Amino acid sequence: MNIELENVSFGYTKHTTLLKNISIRIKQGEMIAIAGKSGAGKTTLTKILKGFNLPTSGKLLLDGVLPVKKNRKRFNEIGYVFQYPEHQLFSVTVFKDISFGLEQYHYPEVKKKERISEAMHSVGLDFERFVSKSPLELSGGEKRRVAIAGVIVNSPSVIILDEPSAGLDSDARDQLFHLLHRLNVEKRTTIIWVSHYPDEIIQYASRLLVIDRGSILSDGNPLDLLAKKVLTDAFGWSEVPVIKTYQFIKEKYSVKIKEPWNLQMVSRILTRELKNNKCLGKT
Amino acid sequence: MALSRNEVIMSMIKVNHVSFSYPGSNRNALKDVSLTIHENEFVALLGPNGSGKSTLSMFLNGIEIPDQGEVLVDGIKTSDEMHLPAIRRKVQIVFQNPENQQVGITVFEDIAFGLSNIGFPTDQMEEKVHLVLNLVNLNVPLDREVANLSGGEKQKLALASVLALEPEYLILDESTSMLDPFSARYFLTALKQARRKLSFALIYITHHLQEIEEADRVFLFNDGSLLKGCTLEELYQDSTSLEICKLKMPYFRHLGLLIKEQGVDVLKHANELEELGLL
Ligand SMILES: Nc1ncnc2c1ncn2[C@@H]1O[C@H](COP(=O)(O)OP(=O)(O)OP(=O)(O)O)[C@@H](O)[C@H]1O
Ligand SMILES: [Mg+2]
Repeated sequence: MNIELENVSFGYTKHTTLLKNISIRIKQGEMIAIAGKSGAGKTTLTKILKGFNLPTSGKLLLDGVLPVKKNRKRFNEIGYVFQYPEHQLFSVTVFKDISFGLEQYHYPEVKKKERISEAMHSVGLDFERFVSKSPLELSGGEKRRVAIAGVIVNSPSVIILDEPSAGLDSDARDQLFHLLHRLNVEKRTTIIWVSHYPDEIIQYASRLLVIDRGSILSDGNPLDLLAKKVLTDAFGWSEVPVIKTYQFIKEKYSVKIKEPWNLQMVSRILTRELKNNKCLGKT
Repeated sequence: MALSRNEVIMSMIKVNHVSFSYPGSNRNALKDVSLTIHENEFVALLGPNGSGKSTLSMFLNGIEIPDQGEVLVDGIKTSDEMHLPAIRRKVQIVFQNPENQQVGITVFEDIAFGLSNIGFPTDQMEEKVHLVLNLVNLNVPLDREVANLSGGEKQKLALASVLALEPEYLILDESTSMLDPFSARYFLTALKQARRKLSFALIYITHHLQEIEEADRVFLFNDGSLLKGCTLEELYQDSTSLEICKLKMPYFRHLGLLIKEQGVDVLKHANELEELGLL
């Protein structure tokens, strides 16, 4: 599904505008990260895309069509993982929570169980151990995994995740992004996620939207954007090690590292350049 | 009467052999955990998802009282009901999900609520509220509704509310997890400044080692057990523990190690490496 915003503005009251004149096109199969300072409007934007918030002015189109009346159903094709997992976990057991969206398909029990076990496995949750537990009686990271599994299981054509890495340990983060990447490549699932982690953005996103005070500050290839010190200064990312290193090596040695998150690669290049440029003093 | 040597009451939190399982659960969320946190110390609780970090934190300020084992705050058991309010005041906690502790409708009310509970003078309230909001760099009008704050702003507000109470021990459960890198750095700096001004012990729960580079000690948890307590330096040497606790070495530290391995003389290139921020 293609999603289009035309001049969308949004505010909860007349006096506050949280989003201003946003126009973007998101094509099926894109993998897009949304970044920006706390309070910039990232969550608000994702809620517009999912149809939780209706634009105060401007238009949202799904495959070119206004999602009104019976077309509103099309929002169901979009899966949404909330910033706080507690906002979407409300069933008595983990099983019921994850199967919630599947109920409408009337799967046979065995098939349902299979899909749920598969979804749990894909986020690193042991089926036997967790399936009968209450989703509220879990650790923070476990709750997030259940919330993600509950969306993945429905195989939506678009998945929106609001800060999915928050609270996950490093294995769970790696596992989540392998999974999202695989869905994106194999099923052309559109992935849109809000992130505060430049390394995961550079590694996985093919497009980055930077939001600042309710507007789109920039939109483009993540590495190209993050190479610009003016931009990273503007939203406080210049000191993040992966970005600082990338910019440093590019400035100083005119080398663009392809995979700045890959420390083996970075260390080889940095070593080579340091050894070659022995006599360079401070610039 | 003078206290004898072993009666001297030390300022510290002492956890002695605490085991715990949640009602209805057949697994132990904590297994025979013993540790000590000294006054003014900065310690981190580390471990994979579900390893017991948040559970332990609730025992430290008496939200939970152990059936097995005991927790002492400045020499007083948390099971001592008479002293529990004092303990809860000394040991403040910012929960993993800040929404669990937001009580006021507006930003002002949220901070003032805790203050009025401890009898803070009303006429100084507004000044205090401004002070702590500045401390965490939360620039929103005092009458903003808490419900309309972003996730990161809620985290800052939760921190401001507990800092206002001037705790002796402050527990932060993944408090930067929803902050952008800039706000997270600011938050950590603000915390450092606050600690210098107000001097309190910091008990910090995280999955990100770069946030705790100044920690005095770290406690490593796995599956409810305390694997070990050690310094960060010792942890970096211990790749098995890093792996068990699902922790990644901070970017610059890892990069530094790798270039050394590849024969870079770090001192010779000190200028460049310092400029990069690696030294
Ligand atoms: N309210 C609860 N009821 C029952 N079991 C719980 C509850 N909260 C947590 N648990 C279980 O207790 C264990 C420890 O959870 P805890 O929340 O302490 O982990 P954690 O180390 O804080 O993890 P995370 O990094 O995911 O926040 C886990 O197995 C979890 O499933
Ligand atoms: Mg926790």
